[in-house]
Amino acid sequence: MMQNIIIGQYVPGKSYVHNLDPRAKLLTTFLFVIIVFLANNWITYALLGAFTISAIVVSRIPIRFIYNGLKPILLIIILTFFLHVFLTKEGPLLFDLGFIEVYQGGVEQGVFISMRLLFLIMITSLLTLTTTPIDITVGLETLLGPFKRFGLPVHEFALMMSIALRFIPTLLEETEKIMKAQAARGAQFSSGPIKERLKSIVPLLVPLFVSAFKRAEDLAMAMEARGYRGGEGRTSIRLLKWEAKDSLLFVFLLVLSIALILLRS
Amino acid sequence: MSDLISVQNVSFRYQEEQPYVLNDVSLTVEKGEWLAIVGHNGSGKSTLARHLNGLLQPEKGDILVEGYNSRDEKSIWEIRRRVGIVFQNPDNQFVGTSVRDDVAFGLENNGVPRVEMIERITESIKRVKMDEYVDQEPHRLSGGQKQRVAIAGIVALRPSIVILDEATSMLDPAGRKEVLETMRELKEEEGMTVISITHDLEEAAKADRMIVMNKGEIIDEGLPATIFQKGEMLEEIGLDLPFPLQMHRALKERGYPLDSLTLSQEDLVDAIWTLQSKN
Ligand SMILES: Nc1ncnc2c1ncn2[C@@H]1O[C@H](COP(=O)(O)OP(=O)(O)O)[C@@H](O)[C@H]1O
Ligand SMILES: [Mg+2]
Repeated sequence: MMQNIIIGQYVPGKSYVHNLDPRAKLLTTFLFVIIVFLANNWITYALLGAFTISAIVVSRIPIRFIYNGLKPILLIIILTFFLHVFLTKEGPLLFDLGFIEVYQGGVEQGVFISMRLLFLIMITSLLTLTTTPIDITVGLETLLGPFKRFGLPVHEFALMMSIALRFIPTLLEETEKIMKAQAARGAQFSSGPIKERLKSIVPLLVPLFVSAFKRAEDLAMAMEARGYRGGEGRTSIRLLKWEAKDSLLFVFLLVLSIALILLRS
Repeated sequence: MSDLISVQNVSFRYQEEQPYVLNDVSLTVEKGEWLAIVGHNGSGKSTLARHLNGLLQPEKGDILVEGYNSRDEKSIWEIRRRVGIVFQNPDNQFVGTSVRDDVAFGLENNGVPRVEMIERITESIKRVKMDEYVDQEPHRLSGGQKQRVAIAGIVALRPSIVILDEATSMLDPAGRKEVLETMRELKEEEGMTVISITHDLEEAAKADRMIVMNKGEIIDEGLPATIFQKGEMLEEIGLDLPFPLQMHRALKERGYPLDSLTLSQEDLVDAIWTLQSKN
C-alpha cells in the first residue's frame, strides 16, 4: 500500500514517453483534452484512438495498469453509453422493444461519448504512470511560473506538494504504529458493527493529528534555520531539459489536430 | 583563539507575564572548540540555540556572530548561513524527497547557482559518508543516516559553527556513534566549531569546554574535568552522572584510594587495575 502512495502510480521505465520532459507531457495532456472535442465522426474518433493506443504502446506500460486507472470510472462510461442509446432519438430507428426505442443516432452518440471519456482517462493516466509526482510538481511549477506575476502562489504550491509527498510515508508509518498501539489496548479496526468501527477511528486520528502538528512546527523551524525565505531569489537543483524529442511530440499533436479539423464533419 | 559567537546579557521569555526562559545569559564561543551545553529538560538550552542563529530575538542583550548582530534584519541571513542547527527529531527536519534534494535545500534557499550546488552537494554528502545513498528516499534511511544528511545539508553551506541540539537523543547507540564521529572528524579536519547540547554527561565529558544551565541561567562553565569535580551540583539539577564517575564515587565511599576523576570507561579501568600496584 505504502509504495503505491509514495510514488503515485508511477511505473518506472525508459521509454520515449518516460523520458519526455514533464512540461511536454503536461502540455500535451492539456491540449489533448481540448482537441478531443474536435472529433465528431467515426474517422476522427478512430484517429484519436490510434493516437491514444500508439502512446500506450510506445510507453510500454503493461495494459493492466491502464485498466486499473479506468476501473473507477468504467461504470460512469457504461452508464453514459446506455443513457445516450436510450434517450437520443436521431436517425433511423434500429429496433423497438415496446417500452424503449433505439435509434442509430443514439448508438453513435453513446459510442462517441464513451470513447471520448475513455481516451481522456487513458491519456491522463499515461501521464501519471510515466512521470513521478515530484517531476509533475516541478513541471507544473515551471509551467505556471509566469503566473507568479499575477499573485498566483506557484512556488508555495509546489513546495507544499513536495513536502506532502515527502511526509506521506512517514505519516503512514506512524498511523500503523498508532493502530498497533491502540489494538494492543483492545481497539478493533477491522471488525464489529460500522458504528463501533467509526468510533475506533477517533483514538487513531487524535494522536495522528497531534503529532502531525508537532512535525509541522518542527519542520517550519528547521526550514527557517536553513535559510528558507520564500521563493524569491531561490535556485533549484532540479533542472528540466527541453530536447528535440519534446518538440517532436508537438509535431505529432499538430498533425493530429490538423487531421481532426480536416476530417471532422 | 578568537570569539565566533558572543552572547551578552541575554534575557528572553516566550510570552510576557511569564518567567524568563533565559535570564541574563552571557557566554562566548571560540573558534575551533567543542563546547558542550548541559542542563535538565526545560532549562532553556534549545531556546538558547535558537537565539544563536537568529530564529529567536533576545528581549534584552545582544548576540554577535562573527560580528553580525542578530537584531539587525539584514544580518539574519548571514548568521543563518554561518550557524547550522541539527535538531532532535531526524524525521522532522528532512525536507527533501531524497538525500540529494534535502542537502540541496539550504543551497537553494541561498540562491547558489546549480553547477556550484552540485559540486557542493557531492562534496558534503561524501563528507558524511552518505555517497551511496544520494538518491535514497528518507523513509529508507535510519535515524543516524538522516542526522548525517542533516549535517551534510549544513556543511554544504560552509558554516563556521554546527549546533547539535540533542541531535543524538532519539538514536540508538550505533546511530549516536555515527553522528558524533562524523562531527568529530569535521572538527578535526575542517576546524569546525561544534556546540553540542545534550544531557548525556558522558558525551559532554569529551568536550573541550562545558557550560551548565539550570532554569534559564548559566550556573557553571569550565573544563569538563573541573566541572565533574562538583558531582553533587550536577545531580542536584537533575543530571545523571556518567557511569565511570558513579563507580568512582562508590568505590571511594568504600575506602578505595582513587584520586583523579575517571570520566571515561578507560580511565576507570586504568584506575582500578593500577590500584593494587600502588599499595
Ligand atoms: N515555543 C514555546 N512557547 C512557549 N514556551 C516554550 C516554547 N518552547 C519552549 N518553551 C518553554 O521554555 C522553557 C525552556 O525550554 P527549552 O529551551 O526547550 O529547554 P531545553 O531545550 O533545555 O529542554 C520550557 O519551560 C518550555 O516549556
Ligand atoms: Mg531542547
